[in-house]
Amino acid sequence: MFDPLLHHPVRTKIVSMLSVNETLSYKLLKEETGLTDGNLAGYLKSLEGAGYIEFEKSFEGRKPKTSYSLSEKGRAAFVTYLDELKVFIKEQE
Amino acid sequence: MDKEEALKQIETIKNAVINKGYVMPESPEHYFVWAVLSAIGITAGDWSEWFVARFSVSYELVLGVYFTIMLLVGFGASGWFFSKEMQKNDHACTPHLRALRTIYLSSIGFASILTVAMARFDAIVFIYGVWIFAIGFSMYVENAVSRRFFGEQGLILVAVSALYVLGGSFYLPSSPTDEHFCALNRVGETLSLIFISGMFAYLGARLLVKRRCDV
Repeated sequence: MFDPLLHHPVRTKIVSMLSVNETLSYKLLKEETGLTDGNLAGYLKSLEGAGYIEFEKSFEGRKPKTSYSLSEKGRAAFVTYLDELKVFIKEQE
Repeated sequence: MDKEEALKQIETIKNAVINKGYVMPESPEHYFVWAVLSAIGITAGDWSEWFVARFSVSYELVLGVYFTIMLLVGFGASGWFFSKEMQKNDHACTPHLRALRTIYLSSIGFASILTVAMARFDAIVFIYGVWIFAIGFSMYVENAVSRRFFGEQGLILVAVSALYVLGGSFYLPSSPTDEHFCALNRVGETLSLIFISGMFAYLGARLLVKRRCDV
């Protein structure tokens, strides 16, 4: 019923944050989620594999920087997921 | 899945969207720059005479040059301080930040143009109300978007500007003299120094203290 990729608290949080910010850096995502590098990378990889998020690598001087953004597919999936949640909650009342 | 789980998910989404939707840089230096620039602009009536006499130019030209410099230096400095903050925190320039920048640039730019245009008329005394309104309204919009720490202070400035303009219009008789305009000018200048320059200096100091306490 629910998108299994989005139906997870951490992935939901990541996608929610990206839905209201044009791009977010890896550093900021790590700060906000409180995850380790390994864990965060895993969640981001699964979202990226499904085409829900996109990333861009750049350099600030010599420092590498990765920024993530929500794709159109990701945004549509998020909206659908949100609608399904609301319908589900309403049906339970 | 049960209803509790679904509600938890909604809560997660709400918190992420509402609390983190508007990433805004903060810089105490930007406020101090504007405190100084605004104080110089507000007291232009006092120092501009020297330039008018020294260079044999009009008052409007002196004002026009000053406000051009003020806009370039002010927005240049703000842009530089904010980009440093954003780089430090790895934030990107959001559409909201760009819109806020446009709002401030438009309101301050328009107030500058109006000041120069009205420079040779006695009604220039009301320009202080325009400035206080422009800054106050922009601050109100900024706070509504970013939920910054200056709360409803923007609305206070809007109220002060309205009181100044209304009070001034009642104070001036149908045939006002230079003394009337001078008195109203002094009130306008004082209110502007308190509510514009003073406000910027206060916000900068408050942010500085907040940062020192967070360290």
